[in-house]
Order: sequence, then C-alpha cells, then structure tokens
Amino acid sequence: MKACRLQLLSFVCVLSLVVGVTPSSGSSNTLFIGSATIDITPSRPIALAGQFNTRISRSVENPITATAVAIETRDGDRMVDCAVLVSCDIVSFRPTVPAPLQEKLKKTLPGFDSSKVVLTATHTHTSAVTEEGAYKIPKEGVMQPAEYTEFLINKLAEVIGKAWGKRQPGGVSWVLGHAVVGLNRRAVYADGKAKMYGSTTTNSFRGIEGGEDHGLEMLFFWDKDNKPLAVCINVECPSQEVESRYTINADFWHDVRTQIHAEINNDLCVLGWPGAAGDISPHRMYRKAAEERMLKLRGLTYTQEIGRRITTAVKDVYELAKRDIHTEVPFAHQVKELALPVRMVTEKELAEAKTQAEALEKKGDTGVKGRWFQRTVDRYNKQNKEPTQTVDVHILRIGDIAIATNPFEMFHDYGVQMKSRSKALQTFVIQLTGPSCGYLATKRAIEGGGYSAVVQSNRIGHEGGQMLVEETLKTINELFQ
Amino acid sequence: MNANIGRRQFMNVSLVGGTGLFIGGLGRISQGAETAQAGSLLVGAATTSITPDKPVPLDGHRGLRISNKVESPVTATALALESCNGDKTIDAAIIVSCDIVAIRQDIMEQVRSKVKPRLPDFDVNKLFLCATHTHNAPVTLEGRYTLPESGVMKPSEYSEFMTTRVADVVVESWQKRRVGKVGWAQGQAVVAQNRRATYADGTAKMYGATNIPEFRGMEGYEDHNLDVLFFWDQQNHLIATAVNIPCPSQDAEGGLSIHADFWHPVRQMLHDRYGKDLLVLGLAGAGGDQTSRPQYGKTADDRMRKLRGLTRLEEVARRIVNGWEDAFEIARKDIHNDIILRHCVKQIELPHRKVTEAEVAEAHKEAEKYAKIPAQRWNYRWHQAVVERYEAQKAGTEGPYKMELHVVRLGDVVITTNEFELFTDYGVQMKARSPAVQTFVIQLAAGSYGYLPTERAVRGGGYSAVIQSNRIGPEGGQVLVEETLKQIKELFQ
Repeated sequence: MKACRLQLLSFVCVLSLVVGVTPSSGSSNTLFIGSATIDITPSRPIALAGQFNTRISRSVENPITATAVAIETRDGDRMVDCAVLVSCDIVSFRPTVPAPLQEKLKKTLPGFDSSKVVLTATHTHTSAVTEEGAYKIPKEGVMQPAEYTEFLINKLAEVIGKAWGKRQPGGVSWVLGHAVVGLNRRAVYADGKAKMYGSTTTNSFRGIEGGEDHGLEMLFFWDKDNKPLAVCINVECPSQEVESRYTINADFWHDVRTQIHAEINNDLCVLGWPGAAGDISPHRMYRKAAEERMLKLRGLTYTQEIGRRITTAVKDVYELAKRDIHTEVPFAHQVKELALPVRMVTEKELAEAKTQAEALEKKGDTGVKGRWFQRTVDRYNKQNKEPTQTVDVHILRIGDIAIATNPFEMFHDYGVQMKSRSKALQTFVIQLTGPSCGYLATKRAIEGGGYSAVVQSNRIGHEGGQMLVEETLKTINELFQ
Repeated sequence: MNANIGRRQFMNVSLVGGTGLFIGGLGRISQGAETAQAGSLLVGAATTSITPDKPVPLDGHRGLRISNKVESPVTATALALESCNGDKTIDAAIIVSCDIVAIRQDIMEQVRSKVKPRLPDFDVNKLFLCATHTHNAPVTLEGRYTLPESGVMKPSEYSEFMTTRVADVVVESWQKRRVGKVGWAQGQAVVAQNRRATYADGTAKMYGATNIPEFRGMEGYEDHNLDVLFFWDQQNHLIATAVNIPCPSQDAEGGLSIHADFWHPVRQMLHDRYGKDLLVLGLAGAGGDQTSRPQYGKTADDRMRKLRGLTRLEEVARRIVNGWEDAFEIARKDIHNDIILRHCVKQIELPHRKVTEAEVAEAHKEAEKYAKIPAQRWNYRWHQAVVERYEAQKAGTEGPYKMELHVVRLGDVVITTNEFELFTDYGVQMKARSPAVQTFVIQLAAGSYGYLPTERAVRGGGYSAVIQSNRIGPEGGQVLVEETLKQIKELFQ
C-alpha cells in the first residue's frame, strides 16, 4: 500500500503543469496599473451561501462589492506579463463562475489572457448562492442562483474591463503591518479530540489547536504622481463575523473599506485577501466578556472593531509605503495546474457517511448536510479511478514579494510553511482563489477531527496539503532565483 | 485617608478571615477577607534601580557571561494596593516587578524578612515578586556557574544588595499609598511568537529551523492580547500601570551587558508621553513557549524596522505602547475607586514529573561527561539534578512540590501567579474558564521552578519540554490550572 502511494505521488508531480508560461522574472520592467470597484449587490432577495440551512436575504445591510487591480509590465511598448487581481464579497467561487467568466472575457477583452485573472472570495457568509441545487430555494420572490450568477459574471467582467482599461504608468510598494483579527477556532480537549468553535470553558479544554498569524501583508499601488490607487490587504482571516444573518453584508471588509475611505483616501480601491485561514475565524474563543466590554465602551460593533484594527495597521505603514514606491520591478505571473492526491475515504468513514445520509433522507432533510454526506459516498465509489484532483494556483512575483494562491480553506500551518521557506521578502498566501475545493486540514487536525478536518469536508488531505506547499515553494523560489 | 489608617484592623481581618496554611517555616499564608466587600482603594507605587555597580555573572544561559557594561538600568517597581472600609483595612497586596531572569530560591524569603520588621502591620505573605525574565540581569543563586575568584560581584552579594533595594521599594510603596482609582482594559500587541517549531517526524525544537522541508508548523498558540491595569491618584494623575504580556522579555538576550530588554524602551516611551513619574510594572504572562523574536518572516520584519529607524527592542516597545494606549483610551472611561480587593495566598501541591529509566540513564551519562569541567557547571547541574530527582523518586522521598499561589481580585479583574515558565496553553485555559472579565496570569512569580510544558510539548521534546527542564509535567500543570481556577471562582462568588 505504501509503495502504491509513493508511485501515486510521483505520478502527481509529473502532472503539475504550467499553464501561463512567463519569461524570466529577474529583469525589471515598467509597471502599468489600473483599478476599479463595482457593486455586486442584488436588487432582490437571494439565497445566502455558507451555512447548512437555507437563508433568504431580508435586507441589504451594506453593499457587497468586487474590486480589481490590473497590473501590466512593459518593455517599451511590448507587454511582458500581466495579472488582474480581483477580490469579491462572496463565500467562495463555485465552478459556475470562473470558467464562464473567462469565456466572457475572451469576448469583452479580446487579446487579454483571461487565465491571468486571479479571482478571490473574501468568504463572507452573507452573500449569494451561485450554484443551483445546493439549497431548497423558493421559486417566487427570490432571485435564483443561476440568475444571480449571470449578474455576477457580468459585473466581474465589467470591473475587470474597467481596471484593465484604466491602467497607466504607476508604482507599487509592499509593507508588513499587524492586526489581531483572525483567531484559531479549533479547541482541543483532554481526549485528544478537537472541535471547531468547541467550548473553551469546560474542564476538559486543553488549548487551541494551532496558531494565528497577525501579520498583515500589504501591497499599495500608486499612480504616476504617487497618489494611491489601491491597497491589497492580506489578512489571515475569512470575513464571516456576521455569518448567520439573513441579510446581505460584506462583513468586516465593509467596515475596513468605510474606515480607510474616511481616514486615508476616499477613492482608494481596497482588495481584501484572506490568508491561510481554514482553522481561523474572527469569532472569539475566549476573553469574550473583555471583548464585549471594550466594544461597549468604544461604541462599536465587532465588524467595526475589526475595521478599526485593520485601518489602524494600514495607517501605521502608509507613510512608510509611500517612501518606497517602485515603478520598475521584476514581475512574473505563473498559473499552475496541480494534480493533488485526494483524501481517501476509509471503509469506516463510508459507513458513517451512508448512515448519516440515509438518516437525513428519512427525515426528509434534502438540504446541504445530506449532500455533504452523500458526496463522501460518491467519492468513495470513484476514488480508485480518480485518485487525484486538479487545482489551479497562481504564483506571482512583484518586486521583492510573492503571491501564492490556492482554492482551499487552507489551514494556517501550511501558510506558515510557505512563508518561512519562501525566498521572497514577503509572501502573500491567498486562499479561496478559483473554484473552491473545501478545507485543507493538517495532519494534527485530521487526528483531532471536528467539522473542518473530517473526510466530508476534506477532498484533499494532508498529503495533498504538503504537496501543495512544496509545489508552491518550488515555483516561488524559481521566480526569485 | 492616609497611610496610617487601618493597619491594626487589617491585621485582624487577615487573621480572622484566613483559613491560612503555612509555608516552610515562613509563617501564615493568608486568604482574603471572606466577604466580597467593596472598599475604598488606596494605591502606592515606587521604583528603584537594582543595577549592580560592579561586574556580575548574568543569568539565563548555559555558559558563563560576566557583565562588562550597563546598557539600561535594571529596576524593581512596586505597586501597593489596599482596600478600606472607613478606617478598616479589608485586604491588601504588594506586587513587585523585577528586571531579573527569575525569582530564585530564597529571594522571596530575604525580601519578606527585611520588610517584616519595617512594616509590622503588613502581612508580608501578601507581597510577591515577579520576574520580567530579562536574560541580562545578575545571577542570584550560588553554584550555578563556576565564577572567577575576584573582580566579580558574587550572587550572594548581589542578592543581598537586590533584596535590600526591593525591600526599600516595597516599604516606600506601602507608605506612599493614598486614596486612588483604578481602571482596566484590554489592548492588542503582536509581540509573543511561539518558539517551538515542529517537524514531520513529530519532534519539536525550541528555536528550531523553520526554513527546512521537514518543518510543519509552530507547536502552539500565541496570545496577542495585552491586559492592562491603570492607577490614578485623587487628582486624576496617572501614577502607575501594570502591563501583562504573555511573553518573556528576552528579545536581546546574550551579550555581556546589563539591560532590562524591551521593558526599558516601553518605560521610556511611556515616560516621554505620560511623564517620568509614571511607574510601569511589566508582568510576564504564560510564555514558557514564547519569545518576542520572529520565528519566520524575519527579513520583512527587519526591513520594516529599518524603514522606521528602530531597533528590535524599540519595535517591540512601540507595539506594546500602541496596545497600551489603545487600552488606556477605554480604561479612562470606566474608573473605579470603591472596589473589591481580595487577595488569596495559598500553598498548592503539584505532583512532580516522573523521571523514567531511560531519562535517568541519559542524564547520568551526560552529567558524568560534564562533572569535571568547571566551565560546564550549568550543564552538569542540569543533568545531575535529574539523577538526584530519580533517586528521591525511587526512595519515595520526593513528595509533591508546594507552590505559593497568589490570586488577587481587583474589581472585575483577577491576577493569578505561578512560579513557572508556563506554556501559553495553560494561561489560555485559565483565561477561558475564569469568571473574571480579565484574567492576568503572571508567570515566574514568588519563586522559580522551571518550564511547565503541555502534554503535546512533552511528546515533541526539545529543550523546554525535556525532563531536565521540567520538574513539574503536564499532570502537575493541570493541577495548577484547576487549583488556580478554584481560587479565582471563590473570589468571584
């Protein structure tokens, strides 16, 4: 069995493909930058994604948006390489969006390589469902997923087109700040088990499973007069503080944007990028009473408080960033297809999934949870024929920094490995980019169990996670040779 | 109300209210008043230099280091608290933060014996010292290193000097106490970094490489919250602040200079902004597995410091002061004078970590290797102590360790102490299960008894989680948590 797995791993490595081939990243070229933002708030009630139960939006608390930054480097008049970075207030990208968007861009932006769009979800749980059949949704009075998806694709194409069309000579700077936002959400217990959002007040509580990274990686983009155009903020935390509401809400990124606009520059485009945060959330696992008291005394909601912390960190580095703007930098953008080994469903896991799926069906529950179990049964049936799953990752070099994306809710430890072994000065690790592939848990998390580390939630296991780390680092470090 | 009010009454309350225990001949260990009675708060604070004027051996490393200069003064800062009902004392506490690696054996006793005759109406068991853990302060315990015969202030001489200075500052703080006010708040400061790297084979290493393919992640949590207490006089002048950070101050450890590590620039920055009379108590939280030095992303961190024109210590201090100011803004909105102050002092029994056959064999071999090399005195003692423990364990004479525990309730917050380099997970457990709005966990207080690792750390091994470094293991750690929480809950009943 061990030998089979080794053979499989070798096979997987061979399958990793470079989709977007780029020239050598070492030479500096002139930067052109464009940015734009667009409202993607639906005008009618929609089904909200991210929970097991169906929720139909009752109001719009704040707008959900998509923001794009277009980057091109030129050698004279010749394009050397490019990227369009897009952050979108949505829980994740289902297959219904990225590929159709690429097709649309081929028509709306002829000559533009649509594979160079880096599409990231902020993970707000108070945004639209974009696939049919995921939830039982009333037909009347609700904008259906297919309709919203078409609307979203049009809006994304529009904002990408605008950012691309507006590009002009500009500059970039990179800085590191700090903000305590993401909190590890997996409590561990005396019996070795772990639980997402588990109680920390019971006698058997022993600690929090993993760490948190409170570093904020930031990229600032400037126009030729050094006026700020956009800031990309990589926070190791999904934006899901108000995740269970029945409203449309961009979660803490709305507050970040509002406060940055009020305190730094009203025209600044703000891209929110979630870091490696599969085991992280903004929810407090302990110290709740202290946090509540502080909020009351400040007169803030918790999303406003997160907005305050992030904005304070942005202000803390803004002048430093302004002092170190680069207009000619090494730039490269590689898009790689990686075939990662799937997490094998064991006989025991299969039996459990079958039992649960049948029990839910008997109860008449045809919702997301039943399918969560059923998909595990389906996976078991095809796992020997299809032992790998292909995922796309984007690896970029911009000056001294690297950007590495993945389509998972990726556990913090993998991000730490990437950052600690990367040759880049700063490494932006961005999860939930491209079609979503579920949680990517670590070995210790799988041993502990709990929602985010059980087989139902993990299409790829820790072996695949390690392979993702190695492949990502290989590409980053090649770009920095 | 002045300092003389209520001393006799305080003594009475302490003796009547306490169902106290005894610690090794040092007298009664007191509990706080039984009733959760609010009282008027009296506050006094004082600080003193404990910087030696001669070269000293520096504590904290395996190798001998003799100081050759003073980069920044090492200090002791005392905070005296008393709550009164009219002219009756309800309860009291004196907390002293010292720029020193640990409160070694006999230091508490020396200070108490010097304070007792000078403050006959103060129960000296309600006094505790805690260490900031700077690794650039003097050794206070004889026998740890082989020292030169001359030209160096010996540990016993320094201890005498230091404990006299600390006793002076304790007395001064108590005598200066006046009606005052207190506020508390929480801030954030990204300072503590877990220093235990884990690897694919399941092992862990303190300060282990994070840039190798076998690296899998940091072992545990980091707590980036900052618990802060603020004290004002009646005229609303900020007179003292106590800052609890789950991180030891050993950023610049090494070298041959005396310095207070990051607490020095913290004090400087706060003095620049809030006046030089503001007294700052640095309280190290549960940080046995923490350091303030980045374990990855070092080049980015260095670049940012260069852009700011700061040293590492200044950058750490900048973050702490930013977090402190954030908390201060809130604390000043919610200031208290009539407040519950209860101080429980208890001796708790912790089981020792058992030495296995394999561990004693290894320790014996290593001890023999170092026994006759004077320069390896520290290493010899580190291993030999395991051999001696094993013998005591085998003879059945070891018994549990009797740790002095302080739990101080001040309004909605609680302060709790332990003698260890306590792994952060234990601090998280205490904070998560405590009924207090904020729980200050102070390690290396009222004594020093080595690292206290978690079960997962013991499994991973590495310097801070091996038998030589752990007299108490995870089993004792859990007893510490439960006993601490029991006392906290009693104070909040």
